[in-house]
Amino acid sequence: MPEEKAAIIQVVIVGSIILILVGIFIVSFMFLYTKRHNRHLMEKKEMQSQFEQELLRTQMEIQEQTFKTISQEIHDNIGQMLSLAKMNLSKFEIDRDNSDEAVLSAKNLVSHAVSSLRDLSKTLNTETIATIGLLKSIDLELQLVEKTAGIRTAIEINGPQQRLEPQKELIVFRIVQESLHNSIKHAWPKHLHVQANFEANLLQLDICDDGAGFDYAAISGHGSGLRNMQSRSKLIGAEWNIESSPGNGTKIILTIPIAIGTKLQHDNNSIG
Amino acid sequence: MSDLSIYNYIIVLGIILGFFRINQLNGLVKTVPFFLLLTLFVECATPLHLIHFRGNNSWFFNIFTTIEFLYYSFIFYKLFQPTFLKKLVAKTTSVFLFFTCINIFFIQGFRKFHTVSYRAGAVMVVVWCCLYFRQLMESSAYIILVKNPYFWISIGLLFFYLGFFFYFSAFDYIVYKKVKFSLALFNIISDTLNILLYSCFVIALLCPRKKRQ
Repeated sequence: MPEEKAAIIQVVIVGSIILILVGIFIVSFMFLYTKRHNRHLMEKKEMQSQFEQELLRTQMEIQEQTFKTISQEIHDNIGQMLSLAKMNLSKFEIDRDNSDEAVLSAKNLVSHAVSSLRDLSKTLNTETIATIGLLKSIDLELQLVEKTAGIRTAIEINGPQQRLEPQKELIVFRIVQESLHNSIKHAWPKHLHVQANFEANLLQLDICDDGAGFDYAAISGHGSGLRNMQSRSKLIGAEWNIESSPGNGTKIILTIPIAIGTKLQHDNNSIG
Repeated sequence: MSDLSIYNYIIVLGIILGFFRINQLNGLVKTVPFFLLLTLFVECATPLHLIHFRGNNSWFFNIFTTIEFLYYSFIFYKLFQPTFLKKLVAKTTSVFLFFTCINIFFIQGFRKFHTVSYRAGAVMVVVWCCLYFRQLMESSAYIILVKNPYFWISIGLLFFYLGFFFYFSAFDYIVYKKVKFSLALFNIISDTLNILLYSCFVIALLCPRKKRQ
């Protein structure tokens, strides 16, 4: 009997300890899990706010670029044309005998200025990018570059077009815009070429120039523009690569994942 | 009152705190001070010999512990969000109540503590606690466990019933055969688990009210 008693008490003690340990394990697991869960939520929130900040910065940069383009266009093109028109009209005041030629020339210049102003009104802003889509926006930007910088440009689209989320499109557009303006500023190319390849849930954008090129390894870590492009690509889950060597031009390759369900309706937002 | 264990003072603290902060408590937590008041009455009734019926007080604990399980089931019924869990609580509690009645009236008897149905109730509450923890873990919002009164109530219940499960398996042998050492063991286990349970209830009563968003 005493052995039986001891055995029963032993079972009660050991069993209770085991069950209490199970309880401790459950509660510890709960604490660990919630700690991780909360950390994950915080990181997500932080990333979201980082993304929103970057988006705002991108919008501002696009706007800034737009203002720069407008002011350059007004100064270099429209302003010159209107000055010439004014000169022609002044000539008309002095020499009324050859008035027809001067008036005709002034009229032509004014109509060119009007046409340039009309083109300028199409200059991109963040809202138009969302409305007309990424590829059309890139195309317009290339046209503007061709006009203002005198560089021949082209865009090539392969595969069925799909649209990205509007915020992603804005950031991609800014990366392309920055690449183009970097090329113009530092590489003095004769040709600029953008190629968009659509694959299943993936868009690969190649931005190529035939300019001076550079040794990327040598400047790696110094160029803030390149770093910007890299960090922005990362923010939208895209992959950013560069191929360049002195004298052989530059190719920037941007591979962007496309969220399922954003297949483009081929009506008004597609080009090519 | 000298016969009262330490946990009874924790219950008193809970009652004072609960009624003092009643307006600051969340919906279901408001019921805790009333439940503690009932518990204190039950705990005091035995040493004051208020409930002895032909030298036996098991009938009283049979009734109280059944009410206790019904109260916990009610709390979890309200806490669970998915309808299937609410239904599960309702159905299981009904089965438990039916089984307890059968056990008390026909199997173990009214004059014996209903250890069999008590163990069934303990398993039931432990399962509710685990399911509530799962519900908390599935939340997509920021979780602050230490500020959640229901988490503290669940922790108290989990440890209380896990700790008591084996004890009540051997309860008949230990108590009715009056094994001296075992009775001392019972008091240690019982006091420790009760202190833990009612301390958790007190912490739950101290948790700040959830602000409406």
